[in-house]
Amino acid sequence: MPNRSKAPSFTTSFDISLGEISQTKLSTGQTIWHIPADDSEITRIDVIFPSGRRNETRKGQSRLCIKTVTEGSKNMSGDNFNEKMDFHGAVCQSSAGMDYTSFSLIAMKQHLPALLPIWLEMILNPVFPAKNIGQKKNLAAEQLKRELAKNSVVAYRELTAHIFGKDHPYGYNTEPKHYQALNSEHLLDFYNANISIAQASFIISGNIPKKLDDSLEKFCKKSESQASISKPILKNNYSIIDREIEGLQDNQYTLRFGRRLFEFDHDDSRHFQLLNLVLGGYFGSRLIKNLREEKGFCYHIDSTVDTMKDDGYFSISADINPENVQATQSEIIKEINILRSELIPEEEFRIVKNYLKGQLLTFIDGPFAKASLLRNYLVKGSNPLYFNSLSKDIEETTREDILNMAIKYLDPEQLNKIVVGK
Amino acid sequence: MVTFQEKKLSNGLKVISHYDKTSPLAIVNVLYKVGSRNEHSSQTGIAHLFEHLMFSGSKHVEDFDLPLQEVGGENNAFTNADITNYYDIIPSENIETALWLESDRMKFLDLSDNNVAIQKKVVIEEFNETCLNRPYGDLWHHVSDLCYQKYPYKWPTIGFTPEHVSSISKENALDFYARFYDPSNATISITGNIENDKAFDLVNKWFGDFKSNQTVQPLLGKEPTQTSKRTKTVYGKVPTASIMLAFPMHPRIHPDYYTYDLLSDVLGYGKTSRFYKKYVIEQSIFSSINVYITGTHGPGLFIIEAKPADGISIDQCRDTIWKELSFLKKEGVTTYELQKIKNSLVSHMAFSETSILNKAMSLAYFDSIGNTQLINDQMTAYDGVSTSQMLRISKELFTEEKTNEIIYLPIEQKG
Repeated sequence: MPNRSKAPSFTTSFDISLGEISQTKLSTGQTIWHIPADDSEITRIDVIFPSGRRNETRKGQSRLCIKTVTEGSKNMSGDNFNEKMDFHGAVCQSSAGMDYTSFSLIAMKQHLPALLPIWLEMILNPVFPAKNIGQKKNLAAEQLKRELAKNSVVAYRELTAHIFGKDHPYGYNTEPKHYQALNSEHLLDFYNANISIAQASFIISGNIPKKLDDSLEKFCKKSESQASISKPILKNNYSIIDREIEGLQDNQYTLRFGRRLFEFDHDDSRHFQLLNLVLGGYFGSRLIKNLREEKGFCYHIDSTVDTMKDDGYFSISADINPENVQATQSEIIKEINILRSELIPEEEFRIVKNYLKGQLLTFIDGPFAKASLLRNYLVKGSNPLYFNSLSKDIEETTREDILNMAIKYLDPEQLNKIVVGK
Repeated sequence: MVTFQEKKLSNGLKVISHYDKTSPLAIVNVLYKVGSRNEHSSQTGIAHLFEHLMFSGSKHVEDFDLPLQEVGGENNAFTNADITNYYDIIPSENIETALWLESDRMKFLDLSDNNVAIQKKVVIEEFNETCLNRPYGDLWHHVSDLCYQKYPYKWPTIGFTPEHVSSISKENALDFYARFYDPSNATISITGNIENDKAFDLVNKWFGDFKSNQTVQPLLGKEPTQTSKRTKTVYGKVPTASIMLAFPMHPRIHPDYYTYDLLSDVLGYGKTSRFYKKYVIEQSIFSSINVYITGTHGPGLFIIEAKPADGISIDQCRDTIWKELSFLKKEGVTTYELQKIKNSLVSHMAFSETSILNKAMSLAYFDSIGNTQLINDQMTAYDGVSTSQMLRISKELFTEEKTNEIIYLPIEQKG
């Protein structure tokens, strides 16, 4: 019979590194990252372009453009393309980010020879047919209408608009009228000005066919795209508000607190991530313990850090019964003030550090998790190999570092406070 | 192909192990064969509330989460109509911590009045957040109630009403624990970087000395065959109208399950599926369409859910769905369409096998429906489905008398 009163022994020295990945450069200049897993039957290819919402000349342009790239190319209709992808059980994804655009192909290795050429053809030679664009615009507008019926969506939009400014690419809110004002030409303009194969990077993960680099290189050589990408400077119009907004739903109010932070690679980023964990970033956090597990005020409450290439923000989010909204706001401020005035207890700090190290292992669990991790670095213009030093950074962070982060960034007076309800 | 070994301990606990040395992690997944279908109709929501209570701490461990976080792990759980599933994701070197914690709460859960009171409040806020405060969030309350007359799928897992959750006492919870949280009613699956022999030894160490107190579970009742169409119109704070058609289908273990599943994909999965291609893209009748099956252990449902595009009425939506279903019942599906869906399943399964968490959950799930081998054999079952079977099921399934129709309208349209 085991001794149940004594916890089993454990270790916290894990190998938290990206392991077997390599990068090569094509003769055409593009970097390719390889994350091989020969026992998998799947190959995943990501292609990343360093331009996105920040390069728009019209609101809604990048998203609609990227979502409609596969509607048709010079040599193939969108219908034909979709049929071929579906018939081979392949998945095509696209992502229109703030600072980047990416396309992904996920397929059984044996189908790659049939799919790779048409996928590259589609994403590199789109024509944006007017009829398809009309349908996509309507669908996007109707989807937006459904989203806006959620208090949490209304709150998120209000917060980011105030943190970055209502015309800032990181902060503006898309409205149905923005989609309606766009036409094929606007999408083609965005594409031609910003999506250039010369600027692309690739990540190949899973079962990697031997000659895949050669195939990609051939394609890069014959590609005609010549975009010279604009590098707009972002101007922030930070403002602080404390307001209540009418929402459609009234059983609960959505509460969002937040403030501007810093970019992905900022010196404070790693220390702040630990502070965020302590406050509301995991299930053992102070906000969860206080407001959910001790008071039963809410089902979820959390805090998050979202950093982009050139800026970022911190936010706290919860859905609360109307009668507990005031009390919840006071408790959040109370928890923040404790973090600003007291060193975090050693025991709690040790647990948070161990927990975070375990989390880092989930980011490198298998080739596709690693591919996502790499992608997250690359789209922010950062070097994925920084990941290998995170574990050491965590070890070296002190309780004083956390206190300093709280003093520097979590002044309650500097927080935007938004409540959405009836 | 997922290679695994399975064993049953003398107390009835089923143990399944799959060694994947490529992962730095291990998964400990504990499935209890209890869900909301095991509840009494006057006190629904207890299975899900109990999932929350399982984090209350146990005799030898005051806090469930803390020791797991301390060794770099995390956990979560879900409850549905048939099962309650708990899982721990943990650095593989520290797997024993998860087994210590899971075993302690299987046998020595420590419930206080305060834990029960707090978690009832949390669950009622979850009820608010996921059902009452979300557009269409209570749709499944209406669907379940309309589609089931006798079978205990008549309410969603969250519970029939928040009042049901409020009414649950600590004694109710302890009784539920005694009846369902028994080693003989559980399956533990371990995947990741743990060799099979070690996995079995460790499970035996932590769970092997538990005695089973298995009690006889009441029968679940039989759902009568539906013989006439049922309809319901609901009004709520929603931005657009919505229509759902639900048709009764066989339980998960029925051989026809695979045909239903493929049929739902032909109609609604992906950009080239029938409903999406014709009526979202080409004709702009729907702004969204979802076709899926519930796949429950007991009698299931085949669901078609559509929202009309701007300027299209619910009647037009309904007519369009039926026009397409009539065509399907007459012409069936083509060999090409069937092959396309099968191909996409092959990729989907290959991708799913790259995650140790998916594998752990699937192994335990397939065991709960009586056949762990299905993790590898189900593709053969899908492959065996023919176009003539698809035609037969279409004709059996889509009839007027087997229709359950729920219309959800914005409250402003209430006359």
